Amino acid sequence: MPSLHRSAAIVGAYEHPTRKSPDKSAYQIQAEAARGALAEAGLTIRDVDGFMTASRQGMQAAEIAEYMGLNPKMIDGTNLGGSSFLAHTARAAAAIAAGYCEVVLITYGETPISIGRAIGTGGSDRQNATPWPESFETPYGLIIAASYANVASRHMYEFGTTSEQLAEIAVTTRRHAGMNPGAMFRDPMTVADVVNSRMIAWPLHLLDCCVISDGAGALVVTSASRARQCKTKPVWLLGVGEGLAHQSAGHRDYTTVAAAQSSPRAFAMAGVTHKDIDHLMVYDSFTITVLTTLESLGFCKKGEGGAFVQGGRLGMDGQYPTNTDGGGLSNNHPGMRGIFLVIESVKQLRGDFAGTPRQVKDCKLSLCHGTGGTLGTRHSGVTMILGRD
Amino acid sequence: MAEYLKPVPTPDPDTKKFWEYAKSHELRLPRCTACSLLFYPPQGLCPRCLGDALEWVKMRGTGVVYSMSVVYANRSKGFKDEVPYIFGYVTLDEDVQMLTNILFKGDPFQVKIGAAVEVVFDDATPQVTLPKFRLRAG
Repeated sequence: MPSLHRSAAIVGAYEHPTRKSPDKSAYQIQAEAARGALAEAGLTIRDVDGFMTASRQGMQAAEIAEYMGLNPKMIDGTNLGGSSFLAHTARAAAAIAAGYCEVVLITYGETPISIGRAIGTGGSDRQNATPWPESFETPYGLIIAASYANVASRHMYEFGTTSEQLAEIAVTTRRHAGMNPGAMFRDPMTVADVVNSRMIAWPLHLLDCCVISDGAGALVVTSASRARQCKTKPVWLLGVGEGLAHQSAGHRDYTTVAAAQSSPRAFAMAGVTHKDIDHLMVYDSFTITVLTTLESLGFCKKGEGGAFVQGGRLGMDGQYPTNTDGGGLSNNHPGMRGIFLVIESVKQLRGDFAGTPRQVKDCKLSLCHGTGGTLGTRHSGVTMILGRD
Repeated sequence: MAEYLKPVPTPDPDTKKFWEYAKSHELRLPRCTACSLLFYPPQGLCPRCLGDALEWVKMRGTGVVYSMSVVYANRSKGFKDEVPYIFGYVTLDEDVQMLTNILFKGDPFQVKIGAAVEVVFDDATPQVTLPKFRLRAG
């Protein structure tokens, strides 16, 4: 079977600087991000013949394509939640390999702050729940934070994981945000700050939860031959895997997440091992997301995540510098953050931050893992391993 | 009686029987007669073998708390004045998990993972009854 290994490269990666966008629509900041990603590659919107975004409603992908004047040969509005854009990258590579198209633009943009949309604590105001499965969830007060909190409480019960260990993740990530001038929250904080912050959904405190920001990003994926003509250093797709975890009809082990399915697939395609990875981007909607994902990815054994994240292992001088942009916990989180994981991985591999503390030294292999949906009820997981020349 | 502002389940062909049993204060779950999977939430065919010959088995109504969250922030109109409430999974004695509320009086942390619980029926609206749980006495 043909593999996607090194079949395509990311040649454009752009994170919109906005964190609050009252004067520009979600579509506009998305188009501006597209412009940025294409420009750095030396391409224009007229070079794009494939387009992917995560539609929140029906044909939103078509609307966004229309907004940018695109008539692509291939369009994909797959929405897997926050991991969508990692899946898009893999599907772009597959479409390119199959000859469907050659230059794929992937965009994302939302403005929850400016339109006043609650995310993690939003709950549902819809009076009539849809029959299945929502009727078995929102009538009981499902909010996203509580779904993740169930995974956290079970992890604590089974393995003795502590709030202080979870807090360590938030503290390290905040330290990284301090190196990112664009991050939403940059002031250092301590484990005590996290565990003393307001309880949102026990055992998760406010500072265990990601920020809510406006934001947009874009990626450009193209063929190996076309990548050689671009202005940027190509970043190669080496391996990818997808997975899906749900309630399994009432028979689920909730502390194992979809990464356990996607990770072996990605490592097998990339032909590398965990020890080879120089840099990690792990979706951090909540601190518990990072801890369970690291375990399920196989960076440590199940149940050992609490000890693993302590002692600075995820810091810049640690074994696995993780979420070096400040993550969803401190940098930005407009709702589906996966695209920013890929953008940071690309920038680290290209050495975009060379000469600054944010640059991971000699970064040759970066792994990014997106989680989409809610960890408790149902979520997708996409693992991608990227490399440089 | 105060207006019920929380989302209300909508019975449909997949789930009608479950809600009918709940309304008569019975907790019954579907079991596949082909592969014997007992499952929740209910649906019209078996999510393991796709068989559609199901039997509705009466549960003992007892189990233990598998996981829980004490929710302090929910901005929806039905729940914003209800915090804190417990949103968690219960493992029934018949070995199937249900996402539910665990009811308590006073301190929510009387409820702990592993604690024994029993079903109670919340007649939320004249049309719909929600199975929920509370600590078992003794």
